[in-house]
Amino acid sequence: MKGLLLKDWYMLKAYCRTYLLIAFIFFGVAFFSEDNLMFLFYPCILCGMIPINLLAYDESSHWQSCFLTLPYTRKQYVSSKYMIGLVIQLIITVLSGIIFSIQMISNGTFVLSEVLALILLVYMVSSLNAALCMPLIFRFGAEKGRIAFLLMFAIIGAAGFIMAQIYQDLMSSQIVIPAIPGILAFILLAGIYGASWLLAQKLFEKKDL
Amino acid sequence: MNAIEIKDLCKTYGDFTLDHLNLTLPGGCIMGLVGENGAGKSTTIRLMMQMIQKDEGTITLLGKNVDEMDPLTKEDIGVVMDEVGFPLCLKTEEIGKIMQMTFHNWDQKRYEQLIHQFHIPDNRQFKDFSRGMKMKAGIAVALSHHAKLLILDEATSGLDPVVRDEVLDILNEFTRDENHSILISSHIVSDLEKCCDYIAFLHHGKLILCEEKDVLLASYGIVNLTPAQLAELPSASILHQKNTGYGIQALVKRDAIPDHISISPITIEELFVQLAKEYN
Repeated sequence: MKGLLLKDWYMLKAYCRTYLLIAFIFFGVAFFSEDNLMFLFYPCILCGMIPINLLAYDESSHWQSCFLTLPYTRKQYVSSKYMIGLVIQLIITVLSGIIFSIQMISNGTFVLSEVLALILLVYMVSSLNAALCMPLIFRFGAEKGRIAFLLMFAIIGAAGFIMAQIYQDLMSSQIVIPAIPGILAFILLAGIYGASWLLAQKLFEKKDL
Repeated sequence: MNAIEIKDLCKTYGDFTLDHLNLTLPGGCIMGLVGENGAGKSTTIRLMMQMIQKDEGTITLLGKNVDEMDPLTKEDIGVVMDEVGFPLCLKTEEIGKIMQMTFHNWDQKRYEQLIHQFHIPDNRQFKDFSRGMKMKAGIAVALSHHAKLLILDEATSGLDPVVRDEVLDILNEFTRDENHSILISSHIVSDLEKCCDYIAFLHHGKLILCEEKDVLLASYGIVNLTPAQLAELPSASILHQKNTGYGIQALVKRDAIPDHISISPITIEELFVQLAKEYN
């Protein structure tokens, strides 16, 4: 699988430099901004899309047929994209954590639990984005997959709105909801990403290319 | 050992059906897969590479059933598809590095030699290559990992005659080793005639004939006759006929033609065109 990862690395260098530039600009703005969460999350969403864009480039260059002529399996191909996704999520999460920490330290407001909460949020944004989108792209292809993702995003948005309403109702009725411990949330997110990985392998296994 | 064995292979999608294809390529031979657009040549190759899923049948490559094939078996198979498929941003050097990490038997020197021989620029991205250059890069990769079986889908199309000739020489050199075999599909039947031992003719998803090239050339011929002379020939011996304005030109089976009738030799291209017209 090393060859697949090296190929993705070359493609990252060629196509995704702009993403990194935008990410750094937004991180810079986040560093000097008072209300910086939006500026932190935007590059996370953007970078979470990188494996999806790599898939779209593969599709347009017919690489998805080409790799099957090489000693690789479909599972390895899917795994290479999820691994690239993981590395990007890790980098973006660590960077966000560092920037947020420096900012808090320089303001004299450093609280470790807040930094950890933010790291978890950043990881959630970048990881969930890829986890939800990738199986659809593997199943339907880049073009249809993006439409399916937007539909799903709308459904999730609607579900989130309903959940928020329920939450508000619960709050107003004074019912206490226990906070989910960070570590549990992290495991849950990792589980979702892993399930997405397996699902994508399953969906891609029999796909005509 | 047979390099390729295809038994009762079927695939239907849309209005196309590949209908119980049976094909065997003996080891050490070159087989040309001939057919019109949409005859099923690329479909057959894509099924062999499991890019699409078959409905029925079995495919065996180098003695291994593709359904149970270890990906490492593909180390021994070099494939060039119609769309070569390398990422458009890559340069030849980067392709070489990727393949070095892909094939255990990768021969970097051979790759560089072929890149140089084919005059492929090493400072340009794949997207800036002409179709011919892309094909040559694909062929260079396929020939640089000591494959035992080459599968080439329209690999010589888009190449100029000089390079096509060079490629054919390389393919001939490749099969000097008796363990090496090639399946090549092409529209350029004259290329196949130069290098192939076997010719398989696909038409609308059916295998019309699969025979040794020399047997085909010895079995079929062209006769130019008057309509009256033609009427005397056994109808089963006439495969196709056309009125040339000066008489009837017919594609015939030589063994059923009386000795006194002069039979002209036929090329594989003529045979293919006339059979295609007949079946159409």
